[in-house]
Amino acid sequence: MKLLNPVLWVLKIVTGVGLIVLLGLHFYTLHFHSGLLLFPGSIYYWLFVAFLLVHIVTALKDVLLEAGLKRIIVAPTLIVLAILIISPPILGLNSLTAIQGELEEPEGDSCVKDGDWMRYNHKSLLLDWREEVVRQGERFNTTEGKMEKSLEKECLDCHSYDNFCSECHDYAGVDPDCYSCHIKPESGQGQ
Amino acid sequence: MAFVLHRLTGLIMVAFILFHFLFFSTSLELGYSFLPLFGIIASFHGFNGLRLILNELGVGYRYRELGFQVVVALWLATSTVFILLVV
Repeated sequence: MKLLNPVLWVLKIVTGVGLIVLLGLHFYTLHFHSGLLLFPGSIYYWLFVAFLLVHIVTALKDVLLEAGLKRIIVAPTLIVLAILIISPPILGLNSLTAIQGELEEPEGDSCVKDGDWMRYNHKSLLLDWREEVVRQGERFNTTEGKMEKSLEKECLDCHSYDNFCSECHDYAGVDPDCYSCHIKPESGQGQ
Repeated sequence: MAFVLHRLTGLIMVAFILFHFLFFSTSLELGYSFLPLFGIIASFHGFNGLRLILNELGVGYRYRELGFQVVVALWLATSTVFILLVV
């Protein structure tokens, strides 16, 4: 028991520093479109979940004990919180893996980036494309092979709007605002 | 003040991350709409956490007030970057 507190203190520090690094990578990835995305299922994601769990439990233990709560209340509180944190990732509640097999297979050999990256991060890419095309006049993407930064002229060449884009958006419960400005693709458009 | 802010930012982040993990739609909504706010809160917690680790290891404890001022300076600089990202 004497050894427990120093061990928990070291764990809190190590996971705290680890979380700073992983969150920094997460922000960097989102902004610069690098490949180190913390998407559900990736090793960075599980590392993040594990660090987060340990850091929150060890830190909250200190907070609750400093607040004068008895150990008999602190322990169950921490267990409930740990279950709350760990359940969504383990149950895959924020994962898009389950819908993958249900969607119409896209044509073409490759996308702008790899499948996992595009699945979770294409919104960021499209928002940046919009900015680059409308405000900076950069219509072509040259970093991932020359392609036009256009949903209709590039994305819908390979993907079916109804059976890929819409179906996944419906499953995920998201409502893209692209068509508050653009004309919505007609049913059956794409591929 | 540093003590209260560190605890407060920590608790806000716990709530944010719980919802960020919950469903893909909430994850996306929080991730995009509140990224700068989360960045501002997380950067304070992170910088102050690093200061606390150093202090607890006996590094710079005598100059802890100066340490906190450095934390605030770094936090303001990082927050400016997060705000500029959305302007």
